[in-house]
Amino acid sequence: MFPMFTKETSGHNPRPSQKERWRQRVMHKFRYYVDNFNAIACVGCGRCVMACPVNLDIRKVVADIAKL
Amino acid sequence: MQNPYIPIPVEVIKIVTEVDTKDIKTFRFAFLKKEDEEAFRYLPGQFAELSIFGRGESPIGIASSPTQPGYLEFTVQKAGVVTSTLHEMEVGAVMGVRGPLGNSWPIDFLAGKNIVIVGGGFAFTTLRSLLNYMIDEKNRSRFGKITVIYGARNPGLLIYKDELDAWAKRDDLSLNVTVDKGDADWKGREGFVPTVCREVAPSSGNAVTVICGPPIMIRFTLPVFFELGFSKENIITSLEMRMKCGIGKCGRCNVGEKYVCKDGPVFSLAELDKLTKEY
Repeated sequence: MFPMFTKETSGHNPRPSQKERWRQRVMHKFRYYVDNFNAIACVGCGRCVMACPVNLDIRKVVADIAKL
Repeated sequence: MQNPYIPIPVEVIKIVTEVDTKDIKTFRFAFLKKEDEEAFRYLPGQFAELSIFGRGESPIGIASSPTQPGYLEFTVQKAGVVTSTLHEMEVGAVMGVRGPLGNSWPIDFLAGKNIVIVGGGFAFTTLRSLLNYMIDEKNRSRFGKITVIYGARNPGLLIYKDELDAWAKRDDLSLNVTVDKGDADWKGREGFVPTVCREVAPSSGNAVTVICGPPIMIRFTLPVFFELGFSKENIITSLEMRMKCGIGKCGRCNVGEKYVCKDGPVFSLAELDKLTKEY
């Protein structure tokens, strides 16, 4: 999640902080990809559920993102 | 399937320094292979990646018109690694072009209508392509009245000076060139683009505005066109972004689910309104 990824020559950066870059990551996988290709960009490995420190079922959260 | 990342080899055949500050040059490229030239079919408003081997690629709008066969032109400002290297190149250098990429100015939508072209500074490149396309003798009858409003900060920063003189002599288009501040030799108009738009006041009847320039110019010019009665569907612009791959894969230029490189760079104001506000 590096700022250089989208930084333009002029110095302008459309995704300047971690907030925008994480938003793009999650929205791309679970919303924009669904809009464009009618599938979520998740392979279903389940590691996010196993690793969640507060025991969230992230699958439920991302299912809600697809309904945004 | 052809690998879309492989650049087409081209040779620099002409370099024109456009402005007094010498940091904007127009490069003319000829294709090394005849079959590449025939395969490179483009329309005004499209862009291509200029590829310098060992340096990288830079997305630049095509400044020549498809009605000018045999070569491609790009007007480039010296800014980063690729464009600085490009500015040091000489006639005869071999490099790559990858494209054409993106959509174009909507030629079929523009056909049969009066066209108002509004450009600011060095963003005039793809507008020049569009203008040269429309005034080509094969195409001129397809379009109505053409009004051009073009502004730069000072006379030394106007690009395509020879063509501006040639366009001013034509009676089938109305050319309004303005500078923010003239100098001793400047005999033309002075004033900011929004003000000149209000003075020229092109009719919104069966008309489309094609606008491209710095954000500050667009911001103050749009209200003028709303006052003149232009709808958001009839105001068209081109976005700029860091378009690395150019084919909708890398995920740098997307605004929501739209990719500026693939779905754009040309959007109407109505389409832009539908895009997500965060990106």
